[in-house]
Amino acid sequence: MSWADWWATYSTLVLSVGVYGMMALSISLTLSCGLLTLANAAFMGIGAYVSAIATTAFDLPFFEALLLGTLGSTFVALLIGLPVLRLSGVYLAMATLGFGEVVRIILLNLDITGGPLGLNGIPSLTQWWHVLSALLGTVFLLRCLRASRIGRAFEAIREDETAARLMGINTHPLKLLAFVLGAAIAGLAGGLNAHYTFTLSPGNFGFENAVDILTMAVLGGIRGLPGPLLGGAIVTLLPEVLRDLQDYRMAANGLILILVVLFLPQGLWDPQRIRGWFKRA
Amino acid sequence: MPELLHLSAVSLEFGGVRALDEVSLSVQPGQIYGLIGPNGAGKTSLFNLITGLYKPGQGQIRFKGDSLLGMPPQHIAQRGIARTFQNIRLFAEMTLIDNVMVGMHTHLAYRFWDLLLRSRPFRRAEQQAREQAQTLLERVGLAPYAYALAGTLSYGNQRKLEIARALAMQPQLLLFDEPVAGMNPTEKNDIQGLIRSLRVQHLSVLLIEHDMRFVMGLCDALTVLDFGRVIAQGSPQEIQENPAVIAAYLGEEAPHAG
Repeated sequence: MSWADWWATYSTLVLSVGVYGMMALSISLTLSCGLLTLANAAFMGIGAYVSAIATTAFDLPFFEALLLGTLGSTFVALLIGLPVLRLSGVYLAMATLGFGEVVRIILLNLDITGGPLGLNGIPSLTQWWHVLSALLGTVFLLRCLRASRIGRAFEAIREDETAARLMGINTHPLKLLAFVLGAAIAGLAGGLNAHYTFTLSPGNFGFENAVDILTMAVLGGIRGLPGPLLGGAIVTLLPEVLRDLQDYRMAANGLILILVVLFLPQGLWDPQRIRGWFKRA
Repeated sequence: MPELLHLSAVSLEFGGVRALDEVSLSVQPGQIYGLIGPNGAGKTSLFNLITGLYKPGQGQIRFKGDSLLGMPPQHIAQRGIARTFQNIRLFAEMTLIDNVMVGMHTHLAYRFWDLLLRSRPFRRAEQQAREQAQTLLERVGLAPYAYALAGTLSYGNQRKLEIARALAMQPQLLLFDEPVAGMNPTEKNDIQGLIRSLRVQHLSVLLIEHDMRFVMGLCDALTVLDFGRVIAQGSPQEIQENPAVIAAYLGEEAPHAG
């Protein structure tokens, strides 16, 4: 198989590995702050729809469309983040899940989003280097955050929010920052995603996708940036690798995920465990 | 000299149970002030009130003349009150140095852009903070473990790390909740020396401790709580001779049979 043939067959998959790597990083940002939010799929949907409408209905250039999609999900995140982040634990998870459903129903009923048929004929504008630079940009941003007082504050909030407040940390704005930044990354990923899949339908960004994204981060591990990237790649590629199992594909998929979470509760990428290997060696 | 911390007639109720009943006390700048009393007397509740975790039913709490009532914990901390915890609350999965650097959070003045661009103000501030954190760890004798995880430390060492983290906040008033519980005599001496050295820096300390030798040898003034009420206030010597205190600690002496 020549390179061109290979790329024609697998380009969607390769681009998805990058896009879902961004999604896993996006949810790991809120998780690193101790917040279990399940709205990332919805933010991805908002980014995807806004940018796809911008290129199809308004003939905007790709970059402007991506920017609009990112800003759109950021803005919505700011609006719902202010009230919702007063919650924590399962209540926060429920509220963000509910928000995701609201977004899906709105996408299903609006005219401009094409209703249940979704949007079709979206121009194929996403190149591999768009995805790669967006992914690298995200990694760079999160690396900078982690190595700063903000990253340390996130970690402190995750471990003991009350103790963090008693250190003088304004926890509410920081939690909002994690949430909104995660939404911006998801919005950008959504815009990139829309412009290589040709079609969008509201079902793409529902509950199932939200859980998949969470699985990626948990499977990969949130103790470092390689974890979510690894998890994103595995969850995206596993169904393809298991294609030979045909009808049992999704069952095997689920089983593998259960085993990993059972035996590696910190995820695949656990810096402590890896350091342990080197110590023994 | 104006009082640093002043509590006047502070009361706290939990569902009808009076945990604190009209407690008043004042801590002067540079003073080491002890808070003692039997278990359940309300000592930790008082710390939770001062740091904003609980809201008093009645009374007034002033720090440097300003009322702390209704202020969230983070604002009280930013004004210069740091504390440690009876049931240790470290960030167990962070390194020692990161724990201490979390304490410096509010003093690390760089903007969001600085950290993205890794500008010189950012690198300088981070570098200085790391060096200061290292110095603080040396001060409590934990420098060799700077890059270990806080959760791996022994009980006594975790208490020392809490003290270092509280000092990193550059407070004016430190609240220590049983700072030497679980420490051996040598470690207790070290902590006593450390707390004395804080006075030289004009820091004030309010401390809860059950070890009477530790408290009496260290504090300038004491308040004794029993069932949420102040039963005695004064110098260590006055407290040691106070019959009400002796009764609270040792039980009432049985009246002599006629």
